[in-house]
Amino acid sequence: MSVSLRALAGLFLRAGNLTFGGGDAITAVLQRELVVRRGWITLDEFALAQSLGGVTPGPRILAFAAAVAWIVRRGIGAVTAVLAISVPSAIVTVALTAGFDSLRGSRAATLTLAAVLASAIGLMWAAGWLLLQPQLRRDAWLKPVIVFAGAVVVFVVWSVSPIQVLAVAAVIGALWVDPA
Amino acid sequence: MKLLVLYLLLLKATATSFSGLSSLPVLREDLVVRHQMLSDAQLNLAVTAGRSGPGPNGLYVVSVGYLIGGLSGAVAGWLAMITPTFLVIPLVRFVGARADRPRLRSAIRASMTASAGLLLAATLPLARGALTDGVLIGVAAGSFLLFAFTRLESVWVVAAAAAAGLVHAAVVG
Repeated sequence: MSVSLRALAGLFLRAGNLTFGGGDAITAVLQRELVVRRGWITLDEFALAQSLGGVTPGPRILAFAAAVAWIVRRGIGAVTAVLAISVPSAIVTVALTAGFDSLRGSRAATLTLAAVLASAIGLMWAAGWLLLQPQLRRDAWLKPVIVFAGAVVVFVVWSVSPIQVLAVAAVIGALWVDPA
Repeated sequence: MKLLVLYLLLLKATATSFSGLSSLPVLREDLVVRHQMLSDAQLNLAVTAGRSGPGPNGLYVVSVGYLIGGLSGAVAGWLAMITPTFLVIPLVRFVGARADRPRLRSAIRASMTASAGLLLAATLPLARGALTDGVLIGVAAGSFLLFAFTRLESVWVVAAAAAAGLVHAAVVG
């Protein structure tokens, strides 16, 4: 599928700069927009970008965005996506840093921000569901359920680092291959 | 020269971490403890500002750069944040060329399933702190349903949540 640089930049601009809640929330938006709504990449390509973004130094969301955009439009796409996600939000961060006290004093701003953050949490729940749901096939549901539940438990109960959780999951996946 | 040092110190923190805020311990050790370019209170302000706006959590590095070196410091922070990002491209080229192998594909899918679990787990403390009343729980639940089961453009869901927050503010005064 041929995707224009303008369309790519537009999507990453909106996802990266109108989404509150950090990288997980932005990933959730991008998953929905890239895989479900626009079909620019497959779920497998999304998973590849997400896995490799997690083992690249720096903010995961930027590496993920670069990987996804590289799949769609190669090098120029990767640079465009990283700039589109990071430049406007960096400017907002500088503005917030400079004027944070006055912003915190406004009750309307505080409640609006709280609602936007609540929406980001709903978005992250949806992202989890959209990642899990396609893998729950009638003949191969046990592995995804075990890996999903195991990831939640070891992260919440034993505070195992996400990198270690993802690595162990990858090993399980490599050893436990479902029939096609 | 100071900006180059600042960039290199911030780069050291971002290049040795694997998510937005995990660079914090290295950054604090260098900038607060060793070089005393920043106070703990300023670091807290930077983290709060970085998490209050849209975009990646790692944006606090830009805020740190701004507090130390003004606008040019912010640019140094931004450059330090994005520099390690492009290491992902050779990784995608290498792994992507082999992604049709069943064992590798199964490993990637299992990793994706685990990331879904991590995503849910990461929202638990966030939800405890953020969903403090019925309106906010309703906004989160409504957003989940719209995101998961409709194809509505994401920005409209976020805009609707912001509108709900403004109405909430108007009602509670």
